[in-house]
Formats: sequence, C-alpha cells, structure tokens
Amino acid sequence: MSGFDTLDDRIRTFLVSQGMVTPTPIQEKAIPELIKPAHNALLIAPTGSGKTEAALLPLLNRLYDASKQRELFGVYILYVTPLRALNRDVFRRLEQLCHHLGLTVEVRHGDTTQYARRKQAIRPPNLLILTPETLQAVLPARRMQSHLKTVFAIVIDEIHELADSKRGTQLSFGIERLERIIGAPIQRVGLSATVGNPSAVAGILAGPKHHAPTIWAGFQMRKMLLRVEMPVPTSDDETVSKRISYPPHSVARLRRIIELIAGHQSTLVFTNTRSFAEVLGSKMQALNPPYEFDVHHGSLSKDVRLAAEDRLKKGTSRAIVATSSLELGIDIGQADLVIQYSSPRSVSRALQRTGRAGHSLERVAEGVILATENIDDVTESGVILRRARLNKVEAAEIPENSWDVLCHQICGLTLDSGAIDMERVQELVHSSYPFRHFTQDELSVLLSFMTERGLVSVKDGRVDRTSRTRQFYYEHLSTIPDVRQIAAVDMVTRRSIGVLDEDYVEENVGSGTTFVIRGRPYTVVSVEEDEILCAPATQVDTDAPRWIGEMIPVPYEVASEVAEVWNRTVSMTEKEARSWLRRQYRLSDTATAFLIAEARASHEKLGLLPSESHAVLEDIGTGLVLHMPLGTKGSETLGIVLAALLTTREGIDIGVERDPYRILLTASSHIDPEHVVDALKNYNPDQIRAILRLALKNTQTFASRFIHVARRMGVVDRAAKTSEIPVRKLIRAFENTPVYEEAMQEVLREKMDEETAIRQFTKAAEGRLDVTIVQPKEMSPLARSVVEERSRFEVVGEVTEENEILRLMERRLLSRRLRLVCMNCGWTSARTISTLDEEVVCPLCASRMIAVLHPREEELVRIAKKRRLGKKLTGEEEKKYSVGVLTAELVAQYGKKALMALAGRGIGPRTAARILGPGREDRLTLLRAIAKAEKEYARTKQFWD
Amino acid sequence: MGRRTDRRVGEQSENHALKEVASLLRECFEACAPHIFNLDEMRNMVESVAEKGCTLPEAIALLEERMQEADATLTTDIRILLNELQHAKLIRKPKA
Repeated sequence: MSGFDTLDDRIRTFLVSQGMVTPTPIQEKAIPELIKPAHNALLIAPTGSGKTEAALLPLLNRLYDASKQRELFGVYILYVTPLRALNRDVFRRLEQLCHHLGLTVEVRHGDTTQYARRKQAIRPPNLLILTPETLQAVLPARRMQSHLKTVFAIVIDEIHELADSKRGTQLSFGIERLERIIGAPIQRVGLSATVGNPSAVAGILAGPKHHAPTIWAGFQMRKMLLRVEMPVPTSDDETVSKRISYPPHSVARLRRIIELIAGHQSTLVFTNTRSFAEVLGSKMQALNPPYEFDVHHGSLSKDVRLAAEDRLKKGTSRAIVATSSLELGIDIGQADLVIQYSSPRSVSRALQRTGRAGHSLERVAEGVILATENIDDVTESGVILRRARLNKVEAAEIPENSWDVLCHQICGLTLDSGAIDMERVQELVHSSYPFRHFTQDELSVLLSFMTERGLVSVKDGRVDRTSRTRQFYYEHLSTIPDVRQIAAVDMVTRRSIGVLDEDYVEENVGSGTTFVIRGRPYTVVSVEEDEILCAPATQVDTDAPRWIGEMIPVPYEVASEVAEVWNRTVSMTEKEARSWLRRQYRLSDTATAFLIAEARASHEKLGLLPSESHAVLEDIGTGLVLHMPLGTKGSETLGIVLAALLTTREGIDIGVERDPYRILLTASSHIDPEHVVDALKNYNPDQIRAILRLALKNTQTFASRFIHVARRMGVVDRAAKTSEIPVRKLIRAFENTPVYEEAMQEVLREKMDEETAIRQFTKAAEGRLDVTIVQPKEMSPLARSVVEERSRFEVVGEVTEENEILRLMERRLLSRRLRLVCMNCGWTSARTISTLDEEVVCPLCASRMIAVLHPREEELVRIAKKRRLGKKLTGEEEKKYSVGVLTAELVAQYGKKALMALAGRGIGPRTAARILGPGREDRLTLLRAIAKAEKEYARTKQFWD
Repeated sequence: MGRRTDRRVGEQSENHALKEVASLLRECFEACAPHIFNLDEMRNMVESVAEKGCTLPEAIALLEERMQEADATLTTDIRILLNELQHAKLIRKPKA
C-alpha cells in the first residue's frame, strides 16, 4: 500500500508516465492526510524531496473528482510562493498534470501582463500560482474576488522564508481575509525545508483558532558531504596578487574556486553580499578561467538572471556566482557542488545553500566553505556546518503586532466588502497569529491614526473606506524596504544591466565613474533623472556598486559554540585538537592548524578566553575590547547600552564597534575598565530597556527604519528622496504614534537581542559572570579583528581594501635590507627587517643605540670610530654622524617600528620621528602614517635635492 | 372536498416554491452585484427569469442558454451568478 494508492487512476497513470512510481517519504506521509477535506498540515522535508507534489497531488485529486460531477468555474486552489522565479518552475511541472486532468493552471505576479490578467478575470484558472503580494492585490479586486469564493485550499511554499519577515505577517492576515470572503474554512498547507520553530510557523499558516500538525520526512535520506577549507597563498598566488591588485589570500581563495569549478560539472558559488558577488566575478574574469560563468543577484535585471540560470542548466556555463537570489528551490538542473565564500553566518542559510547541490533526494550534496584567514570565520564555518549536519536550525523570528502591516490590512478589509463593525475587525485581527495579542486599545490608537490620515473613516462603530483607501492599499502592497533604485543601462545596446541604490548613486556616481556589474566593468557616461547610461570599460581597479546592507546576523547559539571551540582547543594537546577539529567540524589541515595557532596565541596574550561564564576585558591603551560571544545582535545591543552608560559616566563620547564575538569601546581619553565592570553589574532589566530605547532613538539605524515605516504607513511619499526628508523633525513630530512604535519595534526585532544583553547584566549582577581585566603588552589576535577593522568578509564596496594595501606595504617594508651600526662599539651588519626582534640590540655590547643606513653605506662606521677615538670630524662627517645618531635614538626608543618607518620611501629620521610620535603604537595607525609620508614624498620629491 | 383541499394545498406549496426560487435569484444577484460588469443587463436578465416562475434547475438552464449568445464579459457575469446560485443551493436546507 503506497501513498499513491489513494489517488485517482488517471493521476497514477500520469505519475508512472513521468517515472514517479514510488512516493518520496514526505509524499508517502502527506498524501493520505491531505486527501481528506479540511486537513491542514505543515510539511517539513529537505529541498528536492517532492513537497510540492505531496501537497498538490491530493488537492488536484479532489478537484478532479469535483470536475467529474459539475462544470468548474472559478479558482479552487491557490499556490503561494515567495519568489516570481519559483512560480515559473512550479508552473512548468504542474501544467502537464493539469492538462492531463482537464484542469487549468496559471501564474499571476507583478510582471503578468494586463491582457493575461483580463483573461484570468474572464476565465479564471482552477489552480492559481501567485506571490503573497499578488494575493493582496486580488483579494479586493472586483472580479477576482468573486472567483476566489470557490477556493477550498491554499498552499504556501517556502513558508519559513515568509514567516521570518513581514511578508509572512501580511500573508497570515491575508489568509483570514480570504476565508472571510469565502465564508467557509479553507484547507491550509505549508511547505518548508528547514525551520527551527515549526509550531510558530504552523501558527502563521493556520492561525490561533485552527490546527496544522507538522509532518516531517526524508531528513535521514539526505546525504551531505560538507567541509571547511582555508586556502593559503602559494608563490604563484603572490605573483598574481600583484598583477590583478588583489591580496594574496584572496587570490588563494580565487584560485581554489577556479580549481573546484574545473573539477565539477556545475557549481554554485555563494557570497554573502551582492557587492562581493560582483567583485568576485570581476576578479575571476581577470584570471581568465577556461570556462564560462555568470554573476546572479536580485539587483540584476530579470533577463540577465534568467539567461544565467538557463546557461547553467544547459551546460553552457559551468558556474554561477550568486547571492541569496539563488537560494530557494528554483530547479536549475543538477548543480554538483556548492561553494560558500566565507562563513554563511547562519545554519538555515548554510542548509539552503548547500541544499542546492545534488538537487534531489538521492544525490549527495557536496558543499565547501572557503573560510578567510580569520579565526572567527574559520571557527564559525565549522560550527555552522556541524549544526547543519544535525539540522539545528535557527527559529524563524515572526514579526508580531506590526502596526504598518495591520494599517494596510484594515484598509484591505474595507475594500473587500465595504464598512465593517469594529468588533468584527477585532475578531479578525485576533484570528491572525501575529496579531493574536493585539489589544483593543492598540486597535483604537491605530484607527485614530488612520482616520487622521484619511485612510479609513470610523463612524457609529463601523470602519469604512475613504477616497484615499484604494490608492494607499495598492501603492503599499509590498512590505519589502522601499529603497529607490535607478536603472543602469548599456547605452550601446539600450538594455538594462542592473539597478543601483539611490544613495549609492548620490554618493559615488558621476560621469566617468567606473564600477562593476555582472562581473564586468562599466564607465558612467551620464546620469539622467531615471537612468544611468553606461559603456563597457577596460580598467581593472574598479568600484563595485554598493547595495543596501545584507549581512545576516550570526546567532547567539553559533557564537556561543565558537567560543566553546576555542576554549576546548587550548585545553587539548595539539594532536588531540587537530583530530577533534577535523572530526567534529570537518576543518581542512590548514584551517585546523590556523585555528589552533590563533587560539593559543590569544590565550597566551589574554591568559584566558571568553566563555558563557567568563568575559575578558582587554585594555589596549587606545580602547577597551570586551570579549563576549553574544552573536551579532547581542553584541550590538550590549555595545549600545554600555556606550550610553559610559558616555554619561565619563562625560565624553564613547565610540563603539562590534562583531559577534566582541565589542570595542573607544574615546578621546582612556576609559577605566573598572567602569565597564561597574556598568555591567549595577543595572536592572527595566533600566536597561529604557536606556536601550533612548540610545536607539538617536542612531542612524533607527532613522532609516523610521523612514521605511513612515513610507509604508503613508506618512512619507514613496517617491520622496531620502536625502530630502527632514528625518529628525519627523521623528520628533511622530514620537507617540504607531509609526514611531513600529520603527522602534522593527529595530529591536531585527537588529537587537535585548534578552541576551539583559541576561549578561543579570549574570554579572548575580556573580554568575566574571569579567577579567587584562592589559597585554601587545593586542591579542582576537582583538585585532575588531580594532583593525579587518573585514573577513572581503570588500564591501571597494576592490582595493585599504587594510590589504597596508598589509602589502608592510610586507614590502619588512623585506627591506638595512645596514645597522652600533654607535657604541661599531658593530655593523646588513639585515632584513623581518629577521629582527621587536627590540633591536647590539649582539656584542647589548647597546640599543643602533643607527640605520642604506645597506651599501659604510662611511658611518669609519666616522663613528673616529668619534670614539676622540678625533675631530669634518663638517660633512659631523652631518652624517648627526643623522646616524638621530636614527639610533629612534631605534633605541621604538625598536623594530623605527626600522619600518625608516624603510619607507623618502622617509628620513625627522619624518620618521614624527611618524613614530605618540598615539602610533598600534600597527595599523603606524602603517597608515608611513603610507601617508610615502605619498607625500612621491608628490613632492621633484622639489627635493 | 379533501382532494380539492389537497390540490389547493399542493398548488399553494408549488407557488411558494417558485416564489422562493425568484427570491433566491434576486438575493444571489444582489450578493454578486459588486463583481458584475454588465449590471443593468444582468438585472434585467434576472428579473425576466424570476418572472417566468420556474424551478431552480429551469432557471439555471435558462441562464446557461443566455450564455451561448453572450460576449466574454457577459458570459463571466452569468457564470458568477451561477456560482452564487450553486453556493446558495448547497447551503440551503430543503423545506419539508
């Protein structure tokens, strides 16, 4: 007895003709359930396990039975997917089956032509595939609403994607509106590959009043070969690095990517940002690999994206460099390898991306994370892969009580069927899961706001539409942030090549600007009102267009485990650690060796490493680094609160930088670390919440969110340019309104982790969190990442990253040979700087007065000896001796740093003395100062003797 | 006397049922009016069918006949009304 046995013969014969003889595990379990009317379900199974068929076969079976009894007219099944591209694939598979059964299926989304829409209004398809926004568009539509009255089932694909955002909140309410229009319960089915909190996601689907049991299947069948590599540069990589202006470690990763692609049939290379997808594409082009590849992300035009997908499917191209635009279940053929460039940041992202390889149940998914040379990145990658193998996925964070979504949906309610009683509105609000706790008072406040703005009218306890309602509703169908985008057009072909953010264009783009799109450089010819005309360029060093921030946060659980890995690594012998890291975390040899070395070096510098019960506060002189693995949002929250508290206490502005593992606090004067410890111990949760909100109000993050929410609630016109909006004035004016409330709620939910931060304060107060203050002579490797802003995620926006240029310069300086002369005993030797210790002393007499000269300069040895013997020096000799003494004084005071400075082009002892002055203790500041002096020399050398 | 009474009662019952069909037609038209494009034409059509005093299946057959000569939008209007009638038929309990 198989799951297919419950299906009609006609369907079974079709399935056999398609080679579907045996149901997959999810189909086996789900079909017998869903064939029963009104049985809701949330189906959870891996990508490529046949979830779509598991949901649609039983529903189509019921529809087919109905068609045998009467003529069908209307839409009977709705299939909602988050992406337009998904629609095309699902549609192709279903079209054949529906045709076989005499049923009709069509797609509807933003790109559907007017003609197609009119056709659907006249002859509605039995099965309609659409996006959540399109559902919103058709609910109040005159004809389509009538056709929706026959709907008996709705299927939501990739529901975990929707649940994590306001699209899910909006969809959840939309389903309740649909049911109200139909006047009877509908069957609700959700499809999800990975979700950490299935019951909450089932709530989005079924609402608090209905039940949607979870059906899991197929996870044990999916094999995954996942590993972490950390490529190190070879001498060839160093050569290439100079040729294409790209740092050696980045070239090593590039080389590895090219090798891996060559060794597989078809590869997906995922990056974390669109900017970097462009940079990587550009650098790969520069290396001229022996195969074709494409770049793919959401800001490229539809034609370009489709072309890339088709080329991979047909085998014309061997790889696509992509962002999350390719994460969801689009079938682009059998990609046999997925490469993730640097940590994917979360388990769900890792699973979605690696799941794109071997896109069917029996095929093995092969995935490689290429970590950057950074302890955070390497460890995080290993931890995420381990959690991915165990399916320990993050919970979806469902936006609840979203004022802007409810504002829009209430408008929708009035459009659906005219005036509606307040009680009925309240009932409907509570029947939608994300609004189940929305109070009557809150609803009154919202309705007041809406009536003030003319979005609805409230009279005699009934809410009704106004002349503004329809326009507002249709102009605000989408909950996705409304950043104005401007098309970049190839002026030769007049074809669109992509879109650029308005703020990027305003800040960076003018005639002559060069940037990279689709891996190819373009020069801007002119910037028009609504488009940017471009022509292909030939430069290598190009600016990658910046897209709005897309870096997803590292969750607390991952950050916690990363710290645990570091602690365990240093507690083991090298051999034990290597074996453990390879086995548990699938790290390559180079990655393992690097992690062990860095962890040990940090442990040596700090004396201990951070953990759940132990924070380390590192005083680096120019600031404090609080090592605490709280994840991105936890660090962000704690950083903001601490900065606010310390600013008040110290009376000076405290700057804060953070990453998922640490917080850097800086100020114009030294911050007493004891004050940080005090701050952690002396505030209760309520105080922290208040402080956080006060502090957030003044941040750029809040201001940006406020504008987005203001746009969505009709306070700011959608077309208004961000730069022309008086943000601060608006924030003050709307302080006690739903707009402010929602903006604050959104920032807290998306950027902050209040509970984790509060937990640290509580633990510190109760003595369950120790904070150890350390003051190492040299900054720990762990601190260096946040202090030197060494972005492990490669470049966001600039191809030539300043820090990597400085690193190249440092290498050059260290490789310089200089003549050292002891001013005390006359010892002399020509040495390469990299071979010297930090303190430079004479090997004969231990003097630190070591003069520095050009390697071939030996005159000073003779002059110094003459001086020691008490003989008189000539004018010229006196000059040379003075210069020698100056350099020796610098070396005596600053050691190796002095040699680095003096090795700089055109830098003499006086310039070096200025460079080495106070405040230049840390490596990066010193290197910047040397670079500046070299530039100045290059600029002015024609004026020198 | 009994048979005449029965016949009279039977006729009254039949008239009542036919009036119910007419009432149902008008109700369903009102319910789906927001979705109808050719409002006047449909109203006239509904009135003419309602005045014929036919049974529900006969009314449905008459409307389906009208669909044959109608253009695309009018066809859809009639289908919408027919759907509404089907829906109403399903939820109404038959009178004893």
